[in-house]
Amino acid sequence: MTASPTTAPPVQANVRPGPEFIDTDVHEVHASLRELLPYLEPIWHKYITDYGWQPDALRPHAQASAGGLDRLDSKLPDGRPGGSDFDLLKEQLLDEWNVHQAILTGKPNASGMREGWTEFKTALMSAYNDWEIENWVERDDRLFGSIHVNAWDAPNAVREIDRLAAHPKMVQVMLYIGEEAFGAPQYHPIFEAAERHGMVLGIHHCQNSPTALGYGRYYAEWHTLIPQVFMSQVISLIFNGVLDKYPNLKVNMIEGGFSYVPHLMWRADQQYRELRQEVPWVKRKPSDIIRDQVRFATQPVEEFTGPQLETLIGQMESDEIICFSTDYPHWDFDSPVEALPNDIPESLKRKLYFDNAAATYQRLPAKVTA
Amino acid sequence: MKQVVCKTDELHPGQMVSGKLGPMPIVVVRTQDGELFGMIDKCLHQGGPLSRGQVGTGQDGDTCGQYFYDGRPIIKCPWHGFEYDLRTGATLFDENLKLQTFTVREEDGQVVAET
Repeated sequence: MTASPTTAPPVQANVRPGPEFIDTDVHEVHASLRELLPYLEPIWHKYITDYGWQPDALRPHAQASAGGLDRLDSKLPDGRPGGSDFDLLKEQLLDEWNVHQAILTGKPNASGMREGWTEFKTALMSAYNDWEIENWVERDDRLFGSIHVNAWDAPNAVREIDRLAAHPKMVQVMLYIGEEAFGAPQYHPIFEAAERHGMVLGIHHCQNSPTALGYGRYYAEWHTLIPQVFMSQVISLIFNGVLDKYPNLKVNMIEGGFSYVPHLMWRADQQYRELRQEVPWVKRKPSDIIRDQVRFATQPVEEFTGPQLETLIGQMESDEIICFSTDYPHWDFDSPVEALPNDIPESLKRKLYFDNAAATYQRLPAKVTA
Repeated sequence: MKQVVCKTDELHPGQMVSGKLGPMPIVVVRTQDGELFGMIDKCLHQGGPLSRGQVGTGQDGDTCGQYFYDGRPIIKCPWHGFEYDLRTGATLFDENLKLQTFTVREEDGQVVAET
């Protein structure tokens, strides 16, 4: 289609409170890497200012939505991307909907990039975290932060987690998915640190997360198959013993939906029964491990009827592992009042929108009720 | 029901404006060809405001890798990209899935929508 300018005035915020919810996926972003310079050690500045470093982006296609990566109405008139302006995020998310708490998940971080230029990326993650805290986390009581780390540099990732864990509003250690499975032993110190500090391990896909067969010729192929990479990560964490080794670690799989979970549970349980001798360090049935320790953010949710959603949750044998998320400001944002079916029991709705996230993110302040 | 949406000279080709027709949020579009269209300003999918989206021309193709503009005037949701034919209100992927459309005309220097 041909793009054209619009003169539509800003839409007035509707009074659409909807269910009270905890949003487990909100993307704050910097409009330019230069925003991070005040937070970055000076020795690294020239690689941004003079040498033009940019994060690698392996997916080859453009996103054919109205606003590209973002909801068109979340982009700023001066061209800045959605999620780069605090006031607009507050208006379109925190104030428009009935948000109790929102967990910031940022931009694709060094963990989702290819190996190399490791020391620079580690420093950049620290700068990003300090920028996130000052410009977002500390500007609104409802916003909580994630600690972004460079998984290729586990010792320094642990130092970064330890450095920021004292901040009461940092609730998650954030890994973006590249081409590596995170169950491998070199990543375990990161999980130990997350568990030690009571932080959720957030795992999120990005443009460097391939499907089982590369990136596909079309964006529609890649976007359809996003769950594949989440399935790979869940299975990697289970069969490499991560979730047995760190039994108090909670993992949230973010932006991959959840309808694949029953399939994954059934199949992993079967493999466990048949092949247990290969992975004897796995001490529990994979489906039990998932129910105990793995959570799944809803967005981008498939369009279920109420009965279909209840059937799916019944197949998981737990109504406590799904946590609502909007993915604001991205183009496939899920509306808090439209994305999930309304014809489900209120008790289930409350779990999906609120209770499950509250139980998972134990560093979040508990809601005080009168 | 009849409602003035804006002055004629406030809506240029390729632009759109949001308004109300009774209780209904509406979007009025003037295409690049100058034609006026109006429909409900709420996407059938998750309620995205169409007036914050894009207007343009539908894209089609008959074989893998072929693209061409097909001449249909469309509006595209700013969120998930649902495309609606402005002439009929139907989505481009299912002609039976339709938003209500309205008659829009110019009258005494004003753009007027009516059911």
